[in-house]
Amino acid sequence: MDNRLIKIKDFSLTPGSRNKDEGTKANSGQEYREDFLEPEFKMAIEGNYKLLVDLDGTVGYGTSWLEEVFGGLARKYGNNRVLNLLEFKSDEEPYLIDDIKDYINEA
Amino acid sequence: MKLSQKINNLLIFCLGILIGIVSIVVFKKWSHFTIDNKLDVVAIVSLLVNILLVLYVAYILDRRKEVNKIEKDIYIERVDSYYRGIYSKITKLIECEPIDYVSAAAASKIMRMRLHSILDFGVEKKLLLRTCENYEKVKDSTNDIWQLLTDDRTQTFEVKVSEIERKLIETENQIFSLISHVNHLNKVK
Repeated sequence: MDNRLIKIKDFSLTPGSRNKDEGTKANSGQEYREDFLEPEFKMAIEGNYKLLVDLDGTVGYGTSWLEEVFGGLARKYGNNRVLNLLEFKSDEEPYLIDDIKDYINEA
Repeated sequence: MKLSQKINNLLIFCLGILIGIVSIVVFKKWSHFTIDNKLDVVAIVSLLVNILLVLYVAYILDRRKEVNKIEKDIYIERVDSYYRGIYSKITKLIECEPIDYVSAAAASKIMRMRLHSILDFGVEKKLLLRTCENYEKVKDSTNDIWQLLTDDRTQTFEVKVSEIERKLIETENQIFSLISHVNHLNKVK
């Protein structure tokens, strides 16, 4: 199974808070999940490949943003499915990968 | 080595020689023992080995000890400046209600990256043990501060600020214990 690389920095260098209603330029987690990650995730299910999410290159993430994106995806598609289809990469903050996996497992 | 320390060492060396000479004179004058004027090979070799051992201890070991001490002092300064840095950054962030999310996330990234880098460096240089009690605790406290700063589902602003302040004090104590651990630890073999 091949991987498709997606970089969060292509969405925004300044990921914001959790919900879309927190400002038009919030770069919220909900916006990223609904408009960017979910379409990619669906294509990955159909195409039977994995998504490699590159976390590097942004100014930093807040817990709400990460929880909304990955926990939110797990609430919709199930945590096992999300854990099977998503892989993570971070040279800058490798400990974030464990944080994200916790959000997925606890969703 | 400082100049005053060098002068002290030289004085101690001269004093040692002087005491040696005086002792021999006193010994020869009043002692009933006689000293044989012949020297055997074993005595000469033994004397040379002793001289070499003294030089080894004085120069190589002392030098190594001094380098380790400097390394340790620089590391402790780095750990201390880390805490001062995050303290000033975080107290600025919690001055404004609500806490600016992107700034808090950016500050947290730097704070966590720096902490991990400092701890990894300490372990790599054998100044710190990964098993030391505060190694994980200080990471957990920093993680808690990140959560408090950027989790929008928990608490009111006042409660959040007081929790962050409490965590900062907790982190300060852990940093102090970490410094104390580094200070008392002889380099891990």
